[in-house]
Amino acid sequence: MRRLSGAVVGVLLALVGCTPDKLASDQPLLVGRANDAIALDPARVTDSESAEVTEQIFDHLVRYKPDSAEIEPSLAESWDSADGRVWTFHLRKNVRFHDGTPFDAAAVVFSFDRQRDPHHPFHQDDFTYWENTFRNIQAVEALDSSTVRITIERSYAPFLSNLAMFPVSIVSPAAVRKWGSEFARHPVGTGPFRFVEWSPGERIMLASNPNYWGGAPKIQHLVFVAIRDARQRLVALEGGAIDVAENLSPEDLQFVALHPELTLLRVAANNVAYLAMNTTHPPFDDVRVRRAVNFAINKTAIVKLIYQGLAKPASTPVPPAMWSHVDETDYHYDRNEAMKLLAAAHYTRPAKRPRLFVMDTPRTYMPAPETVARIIQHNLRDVGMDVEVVVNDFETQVRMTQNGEHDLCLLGWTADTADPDNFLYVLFDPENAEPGTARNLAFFKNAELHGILSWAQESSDRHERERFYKKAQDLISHEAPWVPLAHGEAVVAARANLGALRVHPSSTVYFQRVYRK
Amino acid sequence: MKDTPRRRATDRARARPVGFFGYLRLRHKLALMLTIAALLPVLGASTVAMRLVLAGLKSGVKTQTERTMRVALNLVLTNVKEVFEEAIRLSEQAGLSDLLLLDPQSTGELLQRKEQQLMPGLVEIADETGKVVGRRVVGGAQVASTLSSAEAIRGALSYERRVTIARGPSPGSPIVIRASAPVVDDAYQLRGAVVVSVPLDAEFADRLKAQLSADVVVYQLAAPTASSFVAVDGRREVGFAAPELVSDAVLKGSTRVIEANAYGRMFSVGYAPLQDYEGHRLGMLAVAVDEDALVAAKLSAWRSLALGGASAVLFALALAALLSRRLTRPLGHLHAGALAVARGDLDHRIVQETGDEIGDLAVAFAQMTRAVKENQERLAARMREIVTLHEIGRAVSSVLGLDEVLRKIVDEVAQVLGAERCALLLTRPDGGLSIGAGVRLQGAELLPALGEVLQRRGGPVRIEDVHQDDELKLPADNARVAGPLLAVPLEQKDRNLGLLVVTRGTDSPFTDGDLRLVATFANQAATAISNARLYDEVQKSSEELEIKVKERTFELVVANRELGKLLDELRAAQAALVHSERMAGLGQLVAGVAHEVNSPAAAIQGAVDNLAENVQRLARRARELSDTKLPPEDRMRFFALVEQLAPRLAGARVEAPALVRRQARELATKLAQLGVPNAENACRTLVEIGAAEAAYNLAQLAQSPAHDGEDPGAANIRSLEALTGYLEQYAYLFRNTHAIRTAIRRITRIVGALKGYSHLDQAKVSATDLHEGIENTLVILHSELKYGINVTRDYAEIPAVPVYVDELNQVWTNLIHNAVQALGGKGEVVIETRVEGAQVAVTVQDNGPGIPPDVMPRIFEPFFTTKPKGEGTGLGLGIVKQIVDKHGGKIDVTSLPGCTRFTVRIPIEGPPRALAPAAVRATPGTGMG
Repeated sequence: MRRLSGAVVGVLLALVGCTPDKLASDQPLLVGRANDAIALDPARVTDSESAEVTEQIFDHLVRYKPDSAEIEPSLAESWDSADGRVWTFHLRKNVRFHDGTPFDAAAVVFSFDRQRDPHHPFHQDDFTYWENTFRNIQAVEALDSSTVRITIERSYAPFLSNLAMFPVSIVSPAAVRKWGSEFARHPVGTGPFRFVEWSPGERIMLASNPNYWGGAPKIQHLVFVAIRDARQRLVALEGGAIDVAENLSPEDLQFVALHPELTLLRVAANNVAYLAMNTTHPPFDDVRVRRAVNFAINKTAIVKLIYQGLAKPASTPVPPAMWSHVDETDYHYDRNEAMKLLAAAHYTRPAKRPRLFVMDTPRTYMPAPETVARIIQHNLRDVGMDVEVVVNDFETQVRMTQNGEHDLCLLGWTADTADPDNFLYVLFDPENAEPGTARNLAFFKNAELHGILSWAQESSDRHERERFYKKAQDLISHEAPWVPLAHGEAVVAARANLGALRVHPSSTVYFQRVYRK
Repeated sequence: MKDTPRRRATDRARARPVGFFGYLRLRHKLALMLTIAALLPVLGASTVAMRLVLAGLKSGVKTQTERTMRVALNLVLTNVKEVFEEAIRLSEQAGLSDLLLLDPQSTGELLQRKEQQLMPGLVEIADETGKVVGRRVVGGAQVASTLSSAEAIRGALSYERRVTIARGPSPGSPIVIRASAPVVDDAYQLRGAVVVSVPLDAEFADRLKAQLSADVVVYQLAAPTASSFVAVDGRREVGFAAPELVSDAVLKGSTRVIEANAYGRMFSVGYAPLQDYEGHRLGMLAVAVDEDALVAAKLSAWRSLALGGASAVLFALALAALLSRRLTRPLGHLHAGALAVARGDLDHRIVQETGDEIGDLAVAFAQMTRAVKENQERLAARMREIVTLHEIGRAVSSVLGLDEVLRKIVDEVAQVLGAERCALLLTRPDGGLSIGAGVRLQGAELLPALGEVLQRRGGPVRIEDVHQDDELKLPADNARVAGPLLAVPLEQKDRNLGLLVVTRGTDSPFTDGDLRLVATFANQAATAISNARLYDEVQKSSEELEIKVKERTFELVVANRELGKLLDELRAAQAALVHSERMAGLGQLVAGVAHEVNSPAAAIQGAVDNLAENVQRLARRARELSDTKLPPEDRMRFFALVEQLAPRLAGARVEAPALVRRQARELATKLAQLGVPNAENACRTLVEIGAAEAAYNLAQLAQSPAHDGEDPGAANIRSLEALTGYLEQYAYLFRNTHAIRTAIRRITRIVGALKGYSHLDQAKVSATDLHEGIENTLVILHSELKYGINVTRDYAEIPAVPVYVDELNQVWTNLIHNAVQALGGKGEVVIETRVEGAQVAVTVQDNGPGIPPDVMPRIFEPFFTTKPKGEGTGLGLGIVKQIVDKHGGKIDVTSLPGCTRFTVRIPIEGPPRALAPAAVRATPGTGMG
């Protein structure tokens, strides 16, 4: 009896002495973005908000190293290919999905085949990326429980880089079978965080996966919240309501720099903002006119004024962080040179002004598209070319430009992989100049370029490829189907007490190693 | 409440206070415990709660301060944004770009017009070369003109829109918010730049204070530059300094909340850094939240705690007092009951008042009293039994007669048990039983038969009604026995001695207690019977023993007579031995004496030879002397000197040659100093003969006239030498005669001793000076003694004692001889003589190795010797003892290594008559007598 009462007293005292300090370390980390995710099935996702979340939940066979464009093993420990066509991947052992089912070759096959095979029971219609990027995968087979063989059409150098993209994340077959198309709302992967719940339009809550093969995350809970208004996002960050804020306007970022408890994370992103000239519409079918436009535009002003310094003027479509980037440019801001070239091309004002299409909403690669359009308009007027600025909403912009309805258009491109092919082939190859699905918005059909790019695709020699891509850039610069405007920085604002926080050049933040100081 | 008995009882039986708390009654203890039990949790809980609350308050203040600080920071940043927007608005001002192109100077007027919309500070407009063309100080702010906006202008001119926080121009001037924006035309051509600088001064601090409800201090680095504090006299305070630790940490980027005392009040102060665009920390922002409220809260909390505690104590005490009284009353009743029982009143009853543990106690108490009463009664019965047993036991132990014992037993058993019949049956040698003793056995002659049946059953038998038992029915009838029966066998050491049978009236069967009692009696009976039997046996045995003793004694007497005869024979043999020993000793003696006499004889012979030569030389020296022609009076003096010296010279010692030479040299030197040189020869001679002291006199006497042609000194020497030469010979003469005399004396002494020693056959007693005998013995033994034995005599005045002189001499010889032998020929022998009462004690002591303790008891045994075979018979000390005994004396020995003493004590009056020589017994002495 005495011992019992002593114990009771002890317990009471302990309770009294308990402080709430311990609970602080379990505080969730909140990430504020402009929009909520659309879906969480990585194969069906195209927007960066969704991709950022799936990148925490899923792994792919390979991934990029944190600060570089090099590939490193992820769910595949090693791989080999004799001919570049048939690839054998040796999978990591003792890995489990968040639902406890084992990760094995069968899961890999499942993840690929549901996208590849239209007759797969769990095939969906909107595996967009597959159409564009992974068309060339012919077969995926499990040789044993930890070996997978992938066969592609022909030797394709960017293949491995493509496997580091989020659409080919490995999903839990059991979960897909269980949820069907609702898997997009109940994702199950092998990644450092597992899905907990999703209040659509508001927040997505993830919890740490203590058994993650790469080391359990230090953050226990990760929450993605949607705060539409950029100013509000900033205020939330300043007040401590959120820990990370993405897509703040560049002007607001100045305040982040001044705030002692906040910090700015900047990294050169793999993107490019450009002015494309429709080479099938006169006067832009004349290379001299196109060159004149290149000389007429004041990129510095644009970068400084619009980007507030959070960008670099572009000399080539390929961003500086990517290998094979060429720094030299043929052009600089020179009104006189522009006017000279226009004169040489016998440029006269057409009856109908050329139309410059621009989107109304800011993009990662372009904060204030309309203002950019206006600046360009002024620059061109200054050399005697009068253009009309047409503002569209983003969807319309994409559709109309893909159809080739524009004379000039302002757009940008964020790479999915760290392979120059992802820029040059997608944006300049004749194969991508089909109206309706075009990505080559200059509709630039140059056979020589096509040859170079095809060769580069098939070659597996990096040095050789680099030479090719450099050559390609020279050609593009010479033929000037574009005015490459700027390469934006991926900027994330965060509270200063977060450690190991880094922005990936793909603008995604990976939270596995992040911790509170 | 019953009172009187209780009070009486408690007066006489109070517990002694034990320990510190013993002085408190139970009620007091209860009261105390209840109070503590009530207080502790209350106090504990409230202290804890108060602590929590205060901690909460404190952290609340801290949190509030942090929050206020954050809000302040945000307000500053908002200000920053406003400044930025102002710069941008200005830069986008319609017409400004044209103005810059066409009429730059009028930009100042533009600013003037716009002044109302501008924030207090400095606004500058620069043209595209960077030159400031328009400038306006808004709001009278004391912003020095030397603000370096050049850098901001440069930035703006590269299309940059920038806002940052910058330092003031001097350490004491406020931090500045600076925004810059380019001015561009419609074609986005650069026309100029706008720079707005807003200082964070006192007005700024006031604005912040209005929004925060807390005071604000702005620092540039660690120095306060502006604050919202106003002193009582209306003067603006610049702000209080921050502790160094805090400013160091804050300027490295962290925030801090501390408590500070400033301007007479306590504040909770939150510090945050202010940094520029690149992240360099330029200064700090502090918000000060008044803590007076917190202090007041603390005080009131303590007050209420004290109040609460006091009321808790009072309440607890009251409750405790009430409860304890109720609890302790029944205990008082129990106390009274206990005292009653102690008095012996076992009928006292406790009333159960309550149904709780005390009630239980009351019930148990009553039970206890009842049990005590029963036990008491049982004990009384027991006591009676024990007394009876005691009686029997006494009877058994006092009365040896078996019949009486048995009788007593059956009487007592019958009495105690109230028996009808009682019988002790004894086992006969043939195995059957017979009646040993009985009570009311009329008509029960056939009881033994019944007893035999019972005995066959083995062990005690207890039957309620003997007629119910088939086996016993018939024998019982025969024996006229009916009703309850108890039979206990008598057993002693597994022997069955008999049976004790008791019967009683039909309505009182035998109990266990009865059985135990009878068994005890049976044991007693068995013991008595076997005791009696043993006694008989003892009697018989002792008679037989007496006869045997008589026979033995007769045999012993016969043996004793025979032994006596043997004894006489032994004694005769012993006397003969003694005699022969004496003979042997005598032979030794003669040899010794002969040896002794030899040396003086030789000495005489030598001396005589010397003398002849001596005389011749003396004659020659005399002639020389006369040649010196000494004057007559000198001659007379010389001869007188010679006569004086000569006897002394006779006994002079012989010195070592080296010593002689030295002394001679010294003497010669002295003489030379005195005017007699070259006297070495003479001096040597003088020293040799031991006449050194005569040197000077002789030298004087030797002053003789010189012969012709002779040196006077040489003549003196010649004379001196002649004198000394004469003296020398004269000395030798004396020496020789002296030697002869000495030798003769010696011989005389030996002969005398011999004479005194050899009174062999004179077995008569004569009064003698014992010293003489001892001396004689020493002379006889001189040869043994002279090398290495040092004899010391310690003689007292002793009277003459009648003794057997020769025999006693034998004693001295033996003892001294033994001592010499023990010393191995080298050591000390001391001979003491004393008078001790009616005895004379002579002790011979040597410092030899001693007699070992294991040998000591046997030294006076005849034939006992420690010498190897052939060296002595060992009869010595045995004989000594005999002789001493003959004199009626005693011999004792003590021995330690280094000191062995034989002491002979002889009565002064002489040997007793009764001790005739023939009665000396040859028994070994004890030695240590």
